[in-house]
Amino acid sequence: MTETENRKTKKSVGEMIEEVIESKQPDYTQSTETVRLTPEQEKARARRNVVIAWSLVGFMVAVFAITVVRLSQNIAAGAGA
Amino acid sequence: MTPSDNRAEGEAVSTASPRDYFDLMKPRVMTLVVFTAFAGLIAAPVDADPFLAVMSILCLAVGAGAAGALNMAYDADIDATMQRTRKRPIPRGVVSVANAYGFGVVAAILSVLLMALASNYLAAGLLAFSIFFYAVIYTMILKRSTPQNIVIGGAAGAFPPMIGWVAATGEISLDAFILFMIIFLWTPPHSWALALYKSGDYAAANVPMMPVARGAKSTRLQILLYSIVLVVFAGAPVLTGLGGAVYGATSLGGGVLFLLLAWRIFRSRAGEAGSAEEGALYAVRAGDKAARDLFAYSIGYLTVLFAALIIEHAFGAYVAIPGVG
Repeated sequence: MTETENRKTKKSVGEMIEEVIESKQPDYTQSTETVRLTPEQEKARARRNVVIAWSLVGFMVAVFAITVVRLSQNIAAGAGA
Repeated sequence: MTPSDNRAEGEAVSTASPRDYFDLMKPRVMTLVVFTAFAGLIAAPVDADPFLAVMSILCLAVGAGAAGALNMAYDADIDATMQRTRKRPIPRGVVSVANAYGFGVVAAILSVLLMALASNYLAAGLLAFSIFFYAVIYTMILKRSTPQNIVIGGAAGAFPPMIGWVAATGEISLDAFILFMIIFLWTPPHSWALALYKSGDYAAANVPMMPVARGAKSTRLQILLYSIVLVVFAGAPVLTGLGGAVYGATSLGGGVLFLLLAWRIFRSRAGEAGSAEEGALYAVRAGDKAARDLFAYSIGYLTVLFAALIIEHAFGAYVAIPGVG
């Protein structure tokens, strides 16, 4: 085998790394769920998730709004002093 | 093997709805907490920022709900035995004990942190202490060990108007302490009236409520004695000037009716049958009617007392009684 042929059959290091990375990728065509939920359980989980999300948003808005109000009060008190 | 081959049936996955978690927070108790806290905040001699006041009340409501969730998590075994409580989310099997603890702890922490931000550290500290007192001192220690459980544990439910007051003023005054004491003294006759006509329930669950541990006769006498002390003490806001003519009249009229109902219980044979009762909160046998009536009335009594304070301080209806205050 000549030197040129050898280069054609051998994979470069870059190609080998790409292959390894690809083999580690999950197969997104399959569901990754490990527990089979009933439609009722899926609905309940979705409802809980929505409420948790809104609660987190509410908490953040509350912290922001309280901070703004307190800052305004303190600035007003400082200006009056 | 594909991931779907690995799947197990999700029997252990919860079907709990947000409503079930809301029920864990004892919404009926939360209503009274919000109402009395609002009264404390309004009656305080400081004009609090309306937005921060609303946030403080919201924190109190969530904190009280967190304490309720922790109570239900610990008392799941008792709740499953009692007619009155077996339809709660944990005994029904829709919420697990671990989830209820998690929910309660997270809600408690968030409510205290937000309270510190919205009002002051003293109010936040009192809120944290009241949650601890209800969940640990009352639920885990007192409830199953002494007939004085609700006398001492009643302090937890008495904190809201004081916290409302402190959220507005930043300090504990005599008037805040009086509001605390009114609910503290109101709790025994209120709870024992319920325990008298639900004594079978408590006996089945091995909870040493007064009628179970000391008998119905002793409980009826103690209800009468506590009622007298309560009605007399409920006049204290008039003496300090916290309550005006509207509060004074409400306290007097409501107090007289409270004493009449307590006297009726004392003269009755309420709680003598002692068997387990079927049905809803207000379902009762003929002999126990006096106890049911005082239980129902006591809620109305506390509501109108604090409503009178709100009317006087929020709507300008305060008229000082000459010669007092």
